Amino acid sequence: MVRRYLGVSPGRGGSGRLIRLASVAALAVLALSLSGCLDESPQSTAVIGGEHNQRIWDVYNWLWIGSLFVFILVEGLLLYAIVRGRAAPRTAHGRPVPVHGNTRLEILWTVIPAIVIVLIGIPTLTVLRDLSSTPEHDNTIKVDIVGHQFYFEFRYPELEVSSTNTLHIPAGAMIDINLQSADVIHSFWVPRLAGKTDNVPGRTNYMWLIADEPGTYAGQCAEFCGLGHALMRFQVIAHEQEDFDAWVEEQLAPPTGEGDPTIGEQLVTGGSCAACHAIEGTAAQGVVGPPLTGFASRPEIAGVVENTPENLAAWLANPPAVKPGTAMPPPGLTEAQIQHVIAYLHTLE
Amino acid sequence: MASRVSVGPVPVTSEQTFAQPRGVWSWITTVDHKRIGILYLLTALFFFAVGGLEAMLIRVQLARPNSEFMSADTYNQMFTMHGTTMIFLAIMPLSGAFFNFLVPLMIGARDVAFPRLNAFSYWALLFGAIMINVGWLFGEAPDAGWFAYANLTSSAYSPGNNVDFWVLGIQILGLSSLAAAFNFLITIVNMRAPGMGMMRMPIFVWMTLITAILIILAFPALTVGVTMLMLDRFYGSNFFVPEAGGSPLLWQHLFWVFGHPEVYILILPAFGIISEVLPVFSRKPLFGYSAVVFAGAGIAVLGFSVWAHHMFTVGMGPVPNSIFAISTMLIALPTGVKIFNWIGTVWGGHVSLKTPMLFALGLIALFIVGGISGVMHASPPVDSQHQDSYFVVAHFHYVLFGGSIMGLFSGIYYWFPKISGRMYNELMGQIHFWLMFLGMNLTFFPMHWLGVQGMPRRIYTYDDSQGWNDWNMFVTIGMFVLVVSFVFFAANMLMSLVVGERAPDDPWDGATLEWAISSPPPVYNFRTIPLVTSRIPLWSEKYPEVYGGDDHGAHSYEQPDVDDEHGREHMVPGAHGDSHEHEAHDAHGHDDTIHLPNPSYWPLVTAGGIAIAFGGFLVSYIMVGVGVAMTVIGIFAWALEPAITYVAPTTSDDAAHDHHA
Repeated sequence: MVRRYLGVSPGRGGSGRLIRLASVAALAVLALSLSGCLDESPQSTAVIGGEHNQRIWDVYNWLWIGSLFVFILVEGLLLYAIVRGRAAPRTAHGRPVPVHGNTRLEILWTVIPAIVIVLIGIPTLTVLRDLSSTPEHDNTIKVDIVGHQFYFEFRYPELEVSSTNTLHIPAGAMIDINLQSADVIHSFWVPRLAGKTDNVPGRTNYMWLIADEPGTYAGQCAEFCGLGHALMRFQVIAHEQEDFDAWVEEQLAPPTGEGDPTIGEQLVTGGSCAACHAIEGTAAQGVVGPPLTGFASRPEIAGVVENTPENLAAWLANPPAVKPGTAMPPPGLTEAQIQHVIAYLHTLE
Repeated sequence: MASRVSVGPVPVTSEQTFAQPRGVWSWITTVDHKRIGILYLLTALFFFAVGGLEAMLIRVQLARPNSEFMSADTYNQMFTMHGTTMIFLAIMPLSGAFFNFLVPLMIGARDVAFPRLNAFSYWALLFGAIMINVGWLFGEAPDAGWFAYANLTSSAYSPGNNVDFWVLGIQILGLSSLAAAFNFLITIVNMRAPGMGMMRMPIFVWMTLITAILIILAFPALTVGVTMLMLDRFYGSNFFVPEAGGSPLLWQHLFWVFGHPEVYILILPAFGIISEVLPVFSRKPLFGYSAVVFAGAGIAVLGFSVWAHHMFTVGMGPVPNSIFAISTMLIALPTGVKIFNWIGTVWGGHVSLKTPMLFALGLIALFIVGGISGVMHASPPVDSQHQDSYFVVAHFHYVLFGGSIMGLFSGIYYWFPKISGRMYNELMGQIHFWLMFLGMNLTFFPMHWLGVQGMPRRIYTYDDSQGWNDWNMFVTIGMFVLVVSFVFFAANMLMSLVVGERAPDDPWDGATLEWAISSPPPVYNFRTIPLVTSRIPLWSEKYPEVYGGDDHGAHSYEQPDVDDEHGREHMVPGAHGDSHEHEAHDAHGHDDTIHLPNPSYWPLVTAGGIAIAFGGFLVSYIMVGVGVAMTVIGIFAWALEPAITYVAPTTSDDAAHDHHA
């Protein structure tokens, strides 16, 4: 009876096929891993923008290499057991030797993983401790980050300025962050710079980050927060110290008045507006929001207020304040930039 | 056909021994654990297809950047319902199908302890599933994610009925799960055949027992949390409303105190299934039986001390994060013990790569990946990069698809002949496995890279500039490979039910009691209750020269008055001659008849009343009143009706008859 079932199972060719499939799969995984590493996103955690992410990446690397080792070992054991089983010699009674267990093996394969856990636990706990308080730094800037549906607001309590959607920081400075939320749970995440921390309503959370080099770092809300969650993107711009100081000065200065439509056009068609809006004959081809072609001829803004420069300025400063529930986040423009954008939009007859 | 030494000369099918009641009404009133198991199976497969369709639509949306296939609103409903459906309406009921069909057969019982409560569990599941899904009809399916984080679920931020459908449906499903868990706990503790000590139970029965305990301990936390959410939404309380001093994090703690054990509720039944399949297709007893049992229990205990690893980024502080990091890493130890013992089972066995075995080995191979990535984000610093990214999506699909689903499909193929009485098509089964194994890796492995590349989960769109285009397209193509594999599965099942070869009683040379009876089993399962002297009762009987003298560490007592020959007759009950008819007397029979639970529609009425009462919260309090009245009437009528039918097993259709007690 037993032999009958052994008889119908495929013969040695089966093991060969299995090995071939396994090697093809292994090669494919390897090739894909390599290409996976080459394909870098602006939000890649694998690109180190500063010390916080560096510390995490060190642990991750340690874990990743250990994991690969465990993966190869255990999958190898499994494959070997299958192949060996397919070719096992038959005993006199036609059944494999009935082995019920082995206490020494049980101890062995409990103790070895326990050692592996100690090896990954030590760096984990060390880094966890180090990341949980702000390291001493001679240039520390405090920022309060408030999550809103669906944008982040950045307040600099010591500098008395604020911005939305773009966090301006000096490169190399320690950014000491408090996180809050004005509505639901959000999560502040700039993958190249640091791991995420949640903005929880009713609580103040804490994190720090440093951007080593000047540049733009992409970020995105990581905790599902409602309809606009996917569009809750923002950026961190790390400036040279003097450029950062200039930005702060500009924020503190009173608005200059008349805007320049040429600068406005650059801001709209080359900036974040174009991600959602389309304007005929320009690079702006977004589809998420309504098109802005012919905007100057429209009687109303977002169908709720009259299309006047004052209303448009209020809208561009904070759309949800004008129309609660709108999917449009505050575009994060300075007051001067708002004047440029108004000047440009009113050329769109 | 006559596959075992101890089967009598004339194989007898169930139609000959007992006239199965027929027709829709007989299914509505059934309390037979096998029929309820089949209802669970069909319901679960239906919702597996629904959840799969939702996954397909999600992947179509994400195939291209800035896709306009779906709106944000629809997408949010889609991913919420995909998760909720797969967890509560596909994997859990699929496990439930096996608990129902197999546990009584494996422990040598005629049914579960409370057959009508069992029917109630099924109907409550069905109504809960309808409640959760009915929102689709109004374009208001649940849309706050399967873990429904407060305070996004508050009336202020989710004013529609979407979350209400979820809350009410989950309440009903919780009742269903709790009733089923108590039923199986009590069945397993009390109704094992003589000789089957705890340490002689099949591992699947052990894992069912542990899962039942997990459900009993974990679901109340969910029930409490969901009740608080109901009060917040319907009556303006403020448990989770921060403006009024409530705490959104309270919800997360309550949810994950349920939610993490839930992961083991989803995986342990699959572990139990492959612990049955691996020995049979290796022709070797399970390696390290006690270690596998205690590892399962260890996973269950540790499973209650790791919930906050879902919350490493909420700002608990370094001390709680360290503690939960360590407890989470520790859970790798018992899980590793299981994997090594499975490999030890295959090691040196005569491995036959039939479809059930392929799926069982597939579970091991894929669960290793999910287990390893689980240890990776047990590290809070690393988790702060992976949390809520596609890395986590990859991880839990390796655990739940590569683990649970692979194991459950191993079970479907393994027990298909027993359940349906037909053989499935082996070639199509093999094609299904290889396409599914390939498609699974093509779909879910690249998600690790998308996560490392910073792609958050639950986003309905992404921009070209974010650099995720290629892998998302790749993943969507991989998903279609998975879809094709399930076409083979569906075709195989449907064709085999109609034209499949008649299944013998014991097609796989099985070791456990369910293979001693006909395929499909007679309505009373065992004509005489078997006497169990071994962990592998059928093998001990079929191969006494190999396993006969073996001490399996479980021979807790002798059976002095049963000789070998006699014991075998005991083992293979059913109508194989009349010489031992008199044995039906002892404790289990009523003269020469077998007592079986009476069909009843009261469980359906009771479950329907509960569903109407909960549904009333969305319609009117009159409806709540009607539902409560129905429930109360249902419970009383259920308590007062006669519970038992006596049937006489005979070899003739006409002689099958019922006596009401």
